[in-house]
Amino acid sequence: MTTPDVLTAQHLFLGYDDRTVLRDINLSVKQGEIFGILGNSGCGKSTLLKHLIGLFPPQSGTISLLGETLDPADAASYTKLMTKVGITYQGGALFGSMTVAENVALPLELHTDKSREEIASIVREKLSLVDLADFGDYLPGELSGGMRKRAGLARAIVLDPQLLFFDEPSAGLDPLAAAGLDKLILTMRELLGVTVIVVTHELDSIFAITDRVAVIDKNQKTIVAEGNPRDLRDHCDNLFVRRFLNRDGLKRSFQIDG
Amino acid sequence: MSPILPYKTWKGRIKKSAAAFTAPIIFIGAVVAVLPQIFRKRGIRMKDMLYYLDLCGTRSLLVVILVSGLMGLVLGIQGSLQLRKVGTDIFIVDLVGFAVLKEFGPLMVAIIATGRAGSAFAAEIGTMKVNEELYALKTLGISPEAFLVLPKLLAMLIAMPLLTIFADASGILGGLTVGVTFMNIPLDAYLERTFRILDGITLSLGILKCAVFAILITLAGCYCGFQAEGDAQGVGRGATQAVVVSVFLVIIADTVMTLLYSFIGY
Repeated sequence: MTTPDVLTAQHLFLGYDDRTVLRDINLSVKQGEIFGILGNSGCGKSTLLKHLIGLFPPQSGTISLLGETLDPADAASYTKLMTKVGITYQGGALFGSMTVAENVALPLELHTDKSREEIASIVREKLSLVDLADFGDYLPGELSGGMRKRAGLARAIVLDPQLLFFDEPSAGLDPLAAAGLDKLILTMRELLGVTVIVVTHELDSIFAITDRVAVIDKNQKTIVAEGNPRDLRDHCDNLFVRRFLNRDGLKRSFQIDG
Repeated sequence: MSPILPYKTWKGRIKKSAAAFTAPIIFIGAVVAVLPQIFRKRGIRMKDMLYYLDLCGTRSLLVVILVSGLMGLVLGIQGSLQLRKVGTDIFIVDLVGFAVLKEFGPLMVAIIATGRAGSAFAAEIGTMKVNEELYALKTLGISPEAFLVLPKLLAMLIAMPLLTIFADASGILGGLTVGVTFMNIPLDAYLERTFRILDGITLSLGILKCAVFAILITLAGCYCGFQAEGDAQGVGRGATQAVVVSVFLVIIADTVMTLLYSFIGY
């Protein structure tokens, strides 16, 4: 039996207004995978993510999430679909006027009929999962960057999504905190069986957590390689991909270049 | 909410110009569409509304009383200089009373609210945009207009008319101080004439003006926040623009409403 695709993107042309940032993007992510979208700074990784979650419409092409075509213009079906999708933004994107617990409770209040007691219990459970059980009454401004990301993750998983997106999860974190977050992503997959899509350029994270990756080349404005990160590093025909995934090789080449 | 990028083609430039024209209309339409949520259970966050009520109302009260009182005083002094020439000192009551209730009370409140709330709204929403909170709202299935604009609008619609009443009272007190001390008008005569000439309708028309100003300041502040570009400078520009646009809209609305009031004899 083949594993179904939870995300497919076909012939996507993406950009803002009249500027095309990425062209002819084709992706398919299998259920239960941790899939990485990689590329150098400014190559359009975050642009791709924003289009994949319906924040912007593609210039052309189609996106399908969990077997349904993504159509943000149809607000009702979009909202229903997004209840099955969790998104963790770079800085957490927590609402500053609400406590951490209120932030995490918000999707439950909006999209379920659960009682206040049930909501409070779920919020405690999810905050424990991200190791923030004692911080429910804190305001986001009182938390560190890593804690805000974990609180954002708690909010993203509060509705038990089938698909989880991470935008630069390790950005701005020290190596220990970044490794902790990577471990948390792996735990999420184990505990919740969730499919994870990570946008990042952190090589340590890529090799630690991803099953497959797609590499975007800024110059070609498209995905130039897709596969297991170790295979791509060692055997990919594309020099850019090999150099991108081989930090040691890159260091050596810098040393040789002087 | 798309980033501002250089437009390379004429088609792109025309599109941008059209978007700049239609964006405020689309924004107002979106706010009107979510207005019924004010009356729904959990439609707006009361905690947020109370926060803005405190920001726009309680924290502005002292400044409003002080500024309006001084405005009444200045108006009284300027009026007294002219009225003395023709020996009609008692009409200082009419001059200060009508000017404060119909114009200066609502205007002073609007200007203070613009500086205090309008810029704060723009900066808050602009910062939320930079922090991707607006994206989070959209993907959580929450209308940014309902979540961010309605609590502010409701708070301003409650706070500003109430502040106008305080501004009116303070302005009249300023005029009274001049009338009684510099012009030697007996206190009871000043008060008697004040209550005789100023009726509930005059007061209500001033308050109605202020309610319109509240709507304009809130919408301008929030709109400039939503349009702010995605960095610290962009947020700063958004806040400045909110003040400029709000003051401009308030003056236009004041002119139009004054003309309309004049047609009905007020």
